[in-house]
Amino acid sequence: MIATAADASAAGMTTKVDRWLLDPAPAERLAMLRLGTGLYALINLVVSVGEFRRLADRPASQFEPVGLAGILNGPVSSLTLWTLFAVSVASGLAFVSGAGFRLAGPVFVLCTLAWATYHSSWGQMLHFEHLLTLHLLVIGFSPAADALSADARRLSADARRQSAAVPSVRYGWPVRLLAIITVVTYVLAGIAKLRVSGWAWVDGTTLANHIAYSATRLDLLGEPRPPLAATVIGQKWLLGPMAVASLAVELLAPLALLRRFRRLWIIAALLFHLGTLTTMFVFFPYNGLGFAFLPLYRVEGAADLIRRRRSTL
Amino acid sequence: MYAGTRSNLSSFVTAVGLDDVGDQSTLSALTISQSRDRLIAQSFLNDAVQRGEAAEACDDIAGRVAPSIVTVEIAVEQHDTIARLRGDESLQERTVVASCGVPE
Repeated sequence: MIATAADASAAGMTTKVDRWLLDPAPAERLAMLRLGTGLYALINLVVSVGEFRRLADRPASQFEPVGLAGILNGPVSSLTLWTLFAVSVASGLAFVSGAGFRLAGPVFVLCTLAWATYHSSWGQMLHFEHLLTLHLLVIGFSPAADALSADARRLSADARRQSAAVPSVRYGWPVRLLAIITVVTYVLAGIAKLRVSGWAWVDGTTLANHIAYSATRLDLLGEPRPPLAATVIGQKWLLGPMAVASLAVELLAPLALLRRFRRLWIIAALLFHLGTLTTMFVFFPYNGLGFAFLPLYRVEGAADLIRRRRSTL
Repeated sequence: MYAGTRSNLSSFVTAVGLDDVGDQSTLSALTISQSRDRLIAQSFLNDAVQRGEAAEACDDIAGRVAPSIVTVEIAVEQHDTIARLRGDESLQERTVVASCGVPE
């Protein structure tokens, strides 16, 4: 068989993609993502204690199971729910500190998955919990506690230094996967807009109606309106460009995987989240606070910084 | 949720409280659904009306309202949301689906 130029080019492309996907990374990069994402998830869990209390008291007639909760015949008992909370907090602490991570990692992420699924099983899909859960699933089943962890501290000083310093594919691919998942969630949101509404979404009318709908819903609950909702509705010329910009942020999210465009896209995405917050009071904190974008950066630099600060003290 | 097209005319299931002279006041998400999340409060009301359980939801809410409220009403209201944001009258239609007294 004779290899053609096209074959060679395709092979070269595959090699490039493979090289990018399997780019070695230091253990500290993945460990920093464990710390950042884990800490966010743990705080989010503790802050959600009221939601556990609320769901423990809800009547079975309101239960509409989605995903894994489909195997349930009805709501779980209050005891089961509080046990889930306690195990989640305990395993979450172990996840963040990296103690017994081989067990604590999977336990924490499975508890988070169970909670996110159950939380969305009452008639309201809580999209803001999805990306965090997906990220935790990757981190929890990866060697994310080989550095900056209680587990790593138990290793000899030599083994610790070697593990942290030598970049490896086993630390690199989970980071790439996390970055890809972040990007894909935005692209899917953009595709959903085009699939459901077509290009009509971009003329600004739909966006105006969504903004006005959110503000009216808040009015009817006696809550304050989003601060910029009325202003934006009053400036008709602004709505078209805002709709186009929103769609562009979502559909062009893969640009974030290219170093040259990463910062520009992240700034645009943060502005997008600020926009939805100020016009609709819709805020995805994991994204809007920047945690979702951490896998796009060489976050081990923060560990170096902390170490240098400590050594100068 | 924000992917679909939406008209400026939208229907909302609302829960309001009436005092002894008939003055209407809005009820918070917490009073309605025991959650501060407005999406959950709205879903609580929507589900109750869809399942034909508005009367039960009304009694449930009545157990949580302020002492000045004597009656709770659950209604389906249609609003022109754009007009509302421009400061104009927005209510197009209102149908009360459940009304209940507040227990002493």
